[in-house]
Amino acid sequence: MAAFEPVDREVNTAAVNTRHLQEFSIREAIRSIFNLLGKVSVDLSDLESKGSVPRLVRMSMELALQFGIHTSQLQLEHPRKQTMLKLGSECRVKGDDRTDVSVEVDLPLSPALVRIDGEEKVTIIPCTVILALQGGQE
Amino acid sequence: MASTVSPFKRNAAPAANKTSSMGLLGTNAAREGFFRQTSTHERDRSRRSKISTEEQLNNLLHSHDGHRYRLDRDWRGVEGITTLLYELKDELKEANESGCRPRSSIEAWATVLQANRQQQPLESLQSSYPALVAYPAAERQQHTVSEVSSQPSNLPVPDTRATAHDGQGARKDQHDAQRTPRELELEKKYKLLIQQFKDVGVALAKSRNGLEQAEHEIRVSEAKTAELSARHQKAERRLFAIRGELESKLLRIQDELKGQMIQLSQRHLSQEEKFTETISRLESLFQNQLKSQQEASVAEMDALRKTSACQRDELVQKYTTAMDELKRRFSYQSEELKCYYDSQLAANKQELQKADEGMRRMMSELDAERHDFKNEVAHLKKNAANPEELEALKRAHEELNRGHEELSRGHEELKRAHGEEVASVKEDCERKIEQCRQRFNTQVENNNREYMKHLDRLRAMKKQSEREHKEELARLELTFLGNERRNEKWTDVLLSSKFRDLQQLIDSAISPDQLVIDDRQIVAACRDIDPTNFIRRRGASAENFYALVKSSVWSILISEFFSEPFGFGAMGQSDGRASLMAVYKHWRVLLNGYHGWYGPSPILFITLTPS
Repeated sequence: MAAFEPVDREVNTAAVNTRHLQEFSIREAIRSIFNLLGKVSVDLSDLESKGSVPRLVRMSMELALQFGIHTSQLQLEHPRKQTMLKLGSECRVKGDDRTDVSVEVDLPLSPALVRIDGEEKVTIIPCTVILALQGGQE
Repeated sequence: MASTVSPFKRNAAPAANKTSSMGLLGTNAAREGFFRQTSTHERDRSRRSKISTEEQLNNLLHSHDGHRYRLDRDWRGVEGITTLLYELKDELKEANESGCRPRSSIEAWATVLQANRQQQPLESLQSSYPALVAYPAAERQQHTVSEVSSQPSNLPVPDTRATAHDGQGARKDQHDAQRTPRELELEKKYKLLIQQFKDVGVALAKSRNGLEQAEHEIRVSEAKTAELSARHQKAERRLFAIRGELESKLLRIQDELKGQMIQLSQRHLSQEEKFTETISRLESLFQNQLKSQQEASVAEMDALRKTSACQRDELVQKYTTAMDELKRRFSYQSEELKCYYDSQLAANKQELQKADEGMRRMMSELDAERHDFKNEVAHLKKNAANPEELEALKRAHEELNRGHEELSRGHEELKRAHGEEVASVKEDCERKIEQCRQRFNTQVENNNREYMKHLDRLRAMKKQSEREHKEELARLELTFLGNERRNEKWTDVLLSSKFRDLQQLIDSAISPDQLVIDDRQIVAACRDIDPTNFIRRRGASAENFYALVKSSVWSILISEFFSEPFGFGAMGQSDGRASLMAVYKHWRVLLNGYHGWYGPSPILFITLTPS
């Protein structure tokens, strides 16, 4: 167990239990990701052979644990459609270097890493998004 | 009996003690005056022993005189003798204790007396001598008192002994008539005792001579000691001088040592400073080296990447230029060929046109002739036709026809030849073009193969360099961020780098390299995975598909692990998280009940921070 030092037997059993919980959740996440990928692809053998999915799930679990250990409250923010964000400081778009422009989100690609210090939010890493088309094309 | 004896004893003993102690005092003072100058230990000791012997001698002399005197007086009573006996015994004891010489004679005398006393008890003596018993006790008392008072002035000298003896002899004569054999015996014994006293006197004189000799020796030794003390003083003076010298030397040496110590400490301090300086310099050097190494490695990686990119670009450029040239050559050749054949075709066409024109001209001529002929025929028919002329005309007509036929045949032949020629040329041209194309294709294939090979090699190189770069980066990160321990919180830099790693991992996993997305399948699955109708809105392109899948994967990860604050999401979405969250919610409500359980609270952050 990463976050707790086993002090006595009780704590040790708690650590084992939480470890089980973690393993369970990791299995669940891997399963649901493969479920999603199975819907869109015929052949997943390439992805399975490289073992990227378990790796990324484990990494995100560790990151989440760090969120628990860290001094400040940390969050991942996955913006919804039609959210207005500031380009540069809050979100990034591939091939768009403008800054301080308010833009509308169409699809988030990766979430933002946000630290909450008291009442203010500090974006450590901005999210990457696909912008909505201008002129309301539907 | 004891009650009658005790007063004598009690009075006589202190008197004797007193005289002896007084004599002792006097001699002591004289000796002290005499020996004041001597200071050595040995002499002191010898003097002390001498004093003690003299003292004892004096003592003894006094006591002997006293005893004799008392004996003279107490002669009439045996009680006096017994008291004397006791006193003598006491004296003997004292002499024994001090270890003095004339002890043996007194002892012998005392033993004789004692033996007599044992053989003849005092009771029998008293009963046999009523005169002795009749001797009044009061008188005895007076005797003792007078004796005590007269003793100090009555110090005994050897000459007085004779007078005392005479006195005794006179008294003896008075009592001769009443004498018994026992008394006579006692008298004998007394005489013997006197004789012994005399012996003692001789011994005393001897010892006095010895004493004088000793004194002489002492004087000699004193002179010696004076000399010695003078020497000693001289030596002491010298010693003082030497000591002073030594002390001054010592002080000088101490000063020197102090100076040296100060110098040493100064040097030590300067060396320490130098040492710290060198340490700091080394540290800075080391850090600089580390930094430079890191920079160098990063630069190397960048250079490697750049060179690989350059190589790839070069290859691509080469390939494209070669392709372009090939294409250009191919187009040029085909153009040339086309031109050539076109010109030939044009020439042929011209010839054909010329021939056609000739033909047409001839035909028009023929037509004109025919028209003429017809006109002639009509004229002839009209002018009652002449058979011969008709025949001639017919022949002419046939000839004309034949000529026409020949011409048309020639025209046909020409046409055929032209067609054949054109076809052959075309065939030729096509064959050549085919050959060219084949050659071109093979070359392109070769080039492609080579290009792919090189690309693979470059990819492998890139992967390797990327891996190395990652390792190097991880190492550098470790050096920068300290040892990564799972239990400790990550720094912001490490946190963001880890998050970026996760991003990169997802980007690389959801990419055409690892995942092949089936268009029809994803369109079919859009109802499940695309709630905002992104695909329908933005069009079914591969880019959009991958973006959608990436977004969905992130959504899954967030809902699995990051949907609860403070890392509770790491427990997953199972029962464990639910129970944990229930506890947390309760606690949160206890902490600030009036807020919702969401919303940050500064107290919470303080309490939640791990120590």
